[in-house]
Amino acid sequence: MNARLTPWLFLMPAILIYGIFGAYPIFQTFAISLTDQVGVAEPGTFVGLQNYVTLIQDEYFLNALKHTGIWVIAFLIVPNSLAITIALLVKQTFWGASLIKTVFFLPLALSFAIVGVVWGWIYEPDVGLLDQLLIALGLEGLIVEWLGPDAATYSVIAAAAWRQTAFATVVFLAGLSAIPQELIEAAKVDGGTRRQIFFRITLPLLKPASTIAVSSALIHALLATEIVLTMTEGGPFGSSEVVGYRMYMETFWNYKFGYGAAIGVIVTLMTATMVVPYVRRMAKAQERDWS
Amino acid sequence: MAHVTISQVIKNYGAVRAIKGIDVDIEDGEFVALVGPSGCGKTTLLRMIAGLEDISGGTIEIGGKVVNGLQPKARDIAMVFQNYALYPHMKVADNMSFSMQLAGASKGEIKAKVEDAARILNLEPYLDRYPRELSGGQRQRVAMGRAIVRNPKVFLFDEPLSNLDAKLRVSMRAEIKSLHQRLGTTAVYVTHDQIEAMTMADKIVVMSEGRIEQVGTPLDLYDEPANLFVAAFIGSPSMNLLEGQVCDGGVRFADGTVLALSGTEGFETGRPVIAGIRPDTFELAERGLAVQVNVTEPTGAETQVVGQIGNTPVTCLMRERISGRYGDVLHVLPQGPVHLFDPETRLRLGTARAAIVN
Amino acid sequence: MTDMTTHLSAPRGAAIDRGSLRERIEEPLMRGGQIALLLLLALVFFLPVLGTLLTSVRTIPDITQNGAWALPSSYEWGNLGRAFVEMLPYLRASVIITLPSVAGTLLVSMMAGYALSRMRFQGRIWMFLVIVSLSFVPIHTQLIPVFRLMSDLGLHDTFIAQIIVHIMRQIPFAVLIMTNFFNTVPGELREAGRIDGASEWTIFRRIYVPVARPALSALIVLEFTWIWNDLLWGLVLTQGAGKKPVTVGILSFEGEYEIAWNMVASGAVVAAIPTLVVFLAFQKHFIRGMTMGSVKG
Repeated sequence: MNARLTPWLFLMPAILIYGIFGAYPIFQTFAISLTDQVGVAEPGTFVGLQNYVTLIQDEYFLNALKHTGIWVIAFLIVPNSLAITIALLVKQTFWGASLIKTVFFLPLALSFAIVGVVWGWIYEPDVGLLDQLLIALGLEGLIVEWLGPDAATYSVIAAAAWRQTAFATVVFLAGLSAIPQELIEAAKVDGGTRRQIFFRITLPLLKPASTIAVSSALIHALLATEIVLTMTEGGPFGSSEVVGYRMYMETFWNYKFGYGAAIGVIVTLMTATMVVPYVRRMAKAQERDWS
Repeated sequence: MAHVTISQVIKNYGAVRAIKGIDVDIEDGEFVALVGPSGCGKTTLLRMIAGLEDISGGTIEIGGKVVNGLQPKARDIAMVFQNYALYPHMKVADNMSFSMQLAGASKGEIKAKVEDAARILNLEPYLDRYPRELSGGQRQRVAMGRAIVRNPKVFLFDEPLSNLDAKLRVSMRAEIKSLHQRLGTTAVYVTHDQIEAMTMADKIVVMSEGRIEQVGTPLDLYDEPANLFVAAFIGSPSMNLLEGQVCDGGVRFADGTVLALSGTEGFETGRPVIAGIRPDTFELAERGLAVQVNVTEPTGAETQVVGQIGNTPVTCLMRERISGRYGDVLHVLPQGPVHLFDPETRLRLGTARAAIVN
Repeated sequence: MTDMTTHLSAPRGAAIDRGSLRERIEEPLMRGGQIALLLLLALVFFLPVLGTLLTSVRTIPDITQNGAWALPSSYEWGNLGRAFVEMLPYLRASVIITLPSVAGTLLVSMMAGYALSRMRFQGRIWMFLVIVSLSFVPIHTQLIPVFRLMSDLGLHDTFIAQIIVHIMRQIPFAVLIMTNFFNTVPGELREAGRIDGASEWTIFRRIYVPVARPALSALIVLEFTWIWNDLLWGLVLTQGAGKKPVTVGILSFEGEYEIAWNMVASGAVVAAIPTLVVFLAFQKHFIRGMTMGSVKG
């Protein structure tokens, strides 16, 4: 084997499969977004940036964009702060910790389809698990129409946050375990209070874990397609639509491929900006490894 | 068994020249140590002999055949790695015989060779174990067994003892040396530990910054270091190096003390020199060099005195039990050779001896 | 021990006693509070799963009369059996799609990871960064052209199309994991292999693949779960029931039973069982895999 060729021979299968079925489609999506293609049968004609111009005036899209914004903000805060709390609590409990961990990790094993189905039923008026629970606790006053026009977006977010929290908990627990116990002990010896140790030692050292948890939350919030699809199909009356779901609808229900592709491009660009810090960190770590 | 000839070998990493044209002749059956501080190029040179690094210039011959373009497997060499590089998923026997399996040797042949090697290395009870179930010393032996099984022309060792604790290192040192004497295979041994090199090698190659400083037998290097680098590198504790000037009948040091020497007659008066004196040659004297003591470190058999002569730090190894404290002054005189070096070229000019002072 | 050090290091005076007293009361109180909070959170987290399990083995009259949170008045295991029979074609499709996808992903990514981690070549870092970045590419940029490409190739509504697409989607993450893992394997092993006379492929197959077992088990568990749980490709690339994975199946199941909650719950349980079992059995591998790559969720 030629020494210069060998690495590329090993990389070949990955490059071929991803190249044909992954990378080439990415470029095609950009190209299609500049056409008015309808359906698969025939290529559309070139319309320049027309699709994008239409998009920024499209009420449906702007509505979905607004909801995506809500998703992003909620996803940054809710799952991550819950997960840090859980991780710290689990770390300090010595009995039953592994059983309790399993409970928190469990949603990771479930697909969005199942999460959607289960939570759709949890939110069902009157007979749903949530209403029944609130009734049993004597909290009927809190009941709203969970999947109605006013609350649907938030309810779907809560369902997705359930799963995202599981992921973030894994990440933060790993991050906490990576902090050498000696550092905490040194801080104690130095006279740090519990609060000081948390804010001045633990939290800064959790930065790598936080980068991961935050990147993941951002990406899931931006894409949130499958769960919306399974729980509400964007309804009622578009009250829970998000851009990712809009793309799916425009393409595979309305067959506006060109238009759908334009939304796909926008989603991709938004994602790209979110992951820059993460990719940078990986690059640095790898260069260190290889030098 | 084979002769290894390294001629004008160069290694470039991009624009950096790591090996700057090296010539070494290794006789058939010789045990040669490549020694030097980290980054001196000794490991790179070994890996070039092994075929793990390309050769940027010059040639390497093994058994009279230029091996520059050959893959490692075609060079008929075996290598013992610093971290042993045992295959973690293979039992000891498989680790030792992997090369034979790849070469398609018969089962019977493999078994015989593995058992031979295991007997030589006292590894017979461990053939069915995984590397993780062995101690450091045993792993080290398996790594050597893997090399022996191949019956190569040349053994290459890359700091094989550096991961063992001090005690084990000493006993493995003796074991490798006796193994070499028994098998008689040419061996190239890389180490940064000069004691290892001194005790094991027939011939030592001292390297620094990609160049050879000196080649010779261990005692040659000790008795007649070619330059300041070798003088300071070989021997422990290191040779004391004192700046001074040749004067009538000896050398005058910076603090004004004169050390009377015989053998300086050939040098012109006033010539700056660096005098190299081994720590163990000092003996207490009534007059002589004044050592200001920093600490004394008794080891039982001898006492190591760390202090300074003028502003130059010195170490003296004394047979007497001395209990000096910080600030005490001891007078000492060298009772062995005093090497004189040129401060400019850093080469050894000659060796003088302390004159008998009445 | 901690108490003693506090005493010793605190300045003398009345304040010491008050401080340590406070600590003595506060400490157990806080601990108790922490444990209670943790248990409460765990309960809230577990309620959806618990509710689903309960409902799946009840009858509709039992649910409407006694409320969703009562213990079943009778255990209707038949619900699960019925759901299983109905989901069988979807489960079968999921198995046929998932297993080759996982195997393919592993093979391809191990090879690429080995090259990236162990070989020095021009463009290595660049290649690695491209792969890391690709693991973030949203499915949305690929859906349309892949759908079109598969139709053009006559692969629409086939298992092979789904398998290829899953392998493609998993390559970046899996290569990342394998690269990182191989980075931790001493390079000396490869050199020892070269000296022992092994070719690059032999070194890969007989040394690095076996050594990678811990990483592989983690990756298998993760990839199995992710590929099994995919929904969008299953929706987009299939037409008839026979080729649809179980994630699509649960949706049509839900549509079919609408308010027969016990059946919907049974369907969800049946659809979730494979990944749940894998997760519970190999939780350690799963978590290790996630923290090794820590990209997806």
